[in-house]
Amino acid sequence: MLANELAALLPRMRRFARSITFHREDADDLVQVAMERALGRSEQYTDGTRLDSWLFRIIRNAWIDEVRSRVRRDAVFAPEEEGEHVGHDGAEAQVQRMAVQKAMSLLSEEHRIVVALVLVDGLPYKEAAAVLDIPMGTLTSRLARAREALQKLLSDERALT
Amino acid sequence: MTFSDDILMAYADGELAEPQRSQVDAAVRADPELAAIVERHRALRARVFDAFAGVLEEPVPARLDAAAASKVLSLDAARNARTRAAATPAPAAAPVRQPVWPRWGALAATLVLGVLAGSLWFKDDGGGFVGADGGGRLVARGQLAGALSRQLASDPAPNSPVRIGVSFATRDGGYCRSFSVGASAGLACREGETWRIPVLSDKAASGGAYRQAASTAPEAVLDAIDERIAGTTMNAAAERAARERGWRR
Repeated sequence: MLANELAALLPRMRRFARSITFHREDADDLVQVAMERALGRSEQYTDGTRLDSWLFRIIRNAWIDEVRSRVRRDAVFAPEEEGEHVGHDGAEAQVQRMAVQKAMSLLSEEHRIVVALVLVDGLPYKEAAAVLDIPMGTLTSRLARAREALQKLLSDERALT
Repeated sequence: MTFSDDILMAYADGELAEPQRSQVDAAVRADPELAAIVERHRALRARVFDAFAGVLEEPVPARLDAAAASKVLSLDAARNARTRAAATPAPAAAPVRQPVWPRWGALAATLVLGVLAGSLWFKDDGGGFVGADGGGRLVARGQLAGALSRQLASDPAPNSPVRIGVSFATRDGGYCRSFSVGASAGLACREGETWRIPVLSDKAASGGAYRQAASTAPEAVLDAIDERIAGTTMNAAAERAARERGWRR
């Protein structure tokens, strides 16, 4: 049953949405809108294809054509609350994570989404290309450019403070 | 043999197939510069992954969990939840956010609209299948209301989007009828002049197969029937007679 499979994918959907939006609330709004769409179009899901890719595609499209315009325009990057994910590795690791999130927020939309699909979620290139509806070659070069941009941002400390 | 950065990236990501993988593998072993490039790709990937990994550990907010785990709508439960929510003062510092559900507000937020195929169900012009009564409860509108009042389970109307499943008398002296529209199914109970819908659910879609003829009601609907039914479901004659009486006993 689709609903149960959806429930199992919720943590990944939230993570993907978070890496696109950076706001917990916006991300969850996005997931909710996407779920509404997914459940409403469940007959469009082709059995035997990857449900995760199908859902990510819906999330991406919902972001681009609906939710994006609803987030507060003046919203500058709002980092996760202090101590949010401070795990066993303490403050230094937290600073590192914040830097990455900040750098991600400075990428172009296109670059950010491809990074979210492949590096954050770990989708294979083939699936990421399917989500974005682009040929493999385009996916590979876009991902390479996105990584370059991200690396550059990360090595520029001033950009991240 | 030289390799482009894209190839090295794909290698670092474990995306290369043989024989290319072995070729790059050999080259990386022999050339520390190539090895450094591959290592940078892997390090960046690990770093980005780590930055968002914590989200997987977070508890999923109830509004999402409920939506996915159960596409069943119990408007009564939803109303109670809303009452509770309304009784909880909002934190003073909460930013003003545009609602995700502009038109249907709290009601829509509690409806898992996927069940309802969105606009097909809710239309402001009265052409939809359901609406909310004054108490925020789900009631049948338009074609659905008409079908519930007129169609017979024993005599399906070929041109109607609504299919009636079973009709039965309830323990509290009323009538309820199960119905389905497209991939959704529910139970409607006569209250005065309206059909109230205590439960609406997605048909258990088996792998997305869309079976027009599926007559199996979702478990939630069956449960709701069990809770209410007095005796057995009505036969064709009893159904006709109830219709003549306008579903009043």
